[in-house]
Amino acid sequence: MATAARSGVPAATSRGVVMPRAIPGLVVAINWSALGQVAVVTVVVAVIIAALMSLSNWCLTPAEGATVTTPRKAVGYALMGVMALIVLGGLYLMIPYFH
Amino acid sequence: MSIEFMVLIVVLTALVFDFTNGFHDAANAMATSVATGAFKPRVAVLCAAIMNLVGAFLSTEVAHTISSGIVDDSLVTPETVFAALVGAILWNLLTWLFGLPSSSSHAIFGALIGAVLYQAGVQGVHFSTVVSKILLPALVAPLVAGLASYLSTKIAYHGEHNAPKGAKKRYRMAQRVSSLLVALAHGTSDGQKTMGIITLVLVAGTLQLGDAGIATPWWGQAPGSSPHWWVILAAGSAIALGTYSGGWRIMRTMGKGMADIESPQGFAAETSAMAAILASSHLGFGLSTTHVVSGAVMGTGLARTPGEVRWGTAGRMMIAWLLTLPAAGLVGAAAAWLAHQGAWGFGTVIAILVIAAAAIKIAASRNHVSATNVNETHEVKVLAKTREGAKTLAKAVIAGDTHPIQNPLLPPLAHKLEGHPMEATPLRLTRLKRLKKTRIKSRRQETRKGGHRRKKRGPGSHIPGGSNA
Repeated sequence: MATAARSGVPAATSRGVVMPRAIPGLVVAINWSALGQVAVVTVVVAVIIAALMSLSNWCLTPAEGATVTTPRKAVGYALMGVMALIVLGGLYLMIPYFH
Repeated sequence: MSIEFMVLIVVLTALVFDFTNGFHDAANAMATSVATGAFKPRVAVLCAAIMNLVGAFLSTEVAHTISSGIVDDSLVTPETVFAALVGAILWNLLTWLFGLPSSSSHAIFGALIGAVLYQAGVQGVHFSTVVSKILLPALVAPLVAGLASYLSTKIAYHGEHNAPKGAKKRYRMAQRVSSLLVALAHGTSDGQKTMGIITLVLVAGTLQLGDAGIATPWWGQAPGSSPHWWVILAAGSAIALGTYSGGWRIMRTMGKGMADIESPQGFAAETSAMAAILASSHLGFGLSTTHVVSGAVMGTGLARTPGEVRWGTAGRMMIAWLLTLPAAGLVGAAAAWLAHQGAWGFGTVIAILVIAAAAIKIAASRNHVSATNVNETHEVKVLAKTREGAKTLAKAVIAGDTHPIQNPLLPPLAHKLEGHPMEATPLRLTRLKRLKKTRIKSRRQETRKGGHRRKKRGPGSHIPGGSNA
């Protein structure tokens, strides 16, 4: 949708009437690539974190009348650890001091 | 008017804008946490205020332009900045009154565009940048965050309506973390905005004094230099104080007004918002926090209870978003016209700002929303009781009804006197209020003396000559 720059020089019509082509200086340059990247990264990261949280919760929640086994607990807490790393990554990106 | 005085006025106005920015955007980080009970309301705003303050100190690389290329920066004078701030403050206050989340950044950009349009006409505004940096992000932000939030919610609920067993407590914990991160992100970006405004005004003031042959004052600032420590402290404190004051009206709309949400939904919404904010700031495509969080909340509501999303509220919010630029622009242009008239113009703008702010505050107090009642309902009413009373009064006047009716100007007391012969006039209501205070005082004195309380009497039984006249 990025429109080509117009020179702003009026164009003549067949009747000899001079019509301006466009508003001078109106060049709308949209960075669709960055927009697409933002959309994809947002959706992917949000889905990954939701999946990790959901899986972690499933691991740590016992079934009806049962207890959570140790391996399952370990997996559950490991997934929480991964989410904690993601939080730290978010802090790294957010704080300008680190980059 | 001296340059120093003008700089002082603009700096103070910038801090007021920062305060309104704080309470306006407090809901972005904490609304879902308050709505789901992850945080108690007061604790939520305290944490958000602290994170905003920390964020403001972490990020002091201020922008070298106020406008991000939206207007010709050579036209940006202290008067222009002042007019832009006034427009943004008034728009923030108005949308706060109606409990409508709207972008403070867009408000200031809109007011700045209005001020520059007055000063220099259309040549001073880069409309292409307005489209690419304001309009398009405003459209994209809620869609992207909404989609991410929708998918995250579906995963969190495993496609069911009810949250998995044992989930809510863990999601509440996770929600606290995500909310604090959003508050931190808000502090780093919005704190920087006001610092940038103040710094640029100080630079402009220093240059003007230099042109007049006056030595650089203590607050002077060279172009391109870092902000003073007191600018960082003042801007960070203003936004933190604003955040702590709560913005409860917007908190109610964001947390309950669009959809009733549970803690897994709150987590999904805040996480999606956080992902969108970080991705956009690092990939060069700035998105408004308000638009992102609002879109995320709608997305999560659609995912779990699609039939219960309150589209009326969402529609009003989108109308507020559409009106932000033109409305703030109009006020900015009017304020710029007045500010360029001289000292009296400046004074008039300040007087109008103070009067308007007071009027909005009084209107808000008629239907007060606070930390104690923020979750009671999903609606933010404005002058509802006064409107209902005025309608009743109008109908009674038209019908020639002589029975006493509720005084629409005194709703807080009037509702206690329903059916009472003395409910009609302000004068009688004032007398009744005084008598009530005397009764309470004497009861307290008796309680202190002997621990006995006087038996409660019916209304009006002790009032001399109590009858409707």
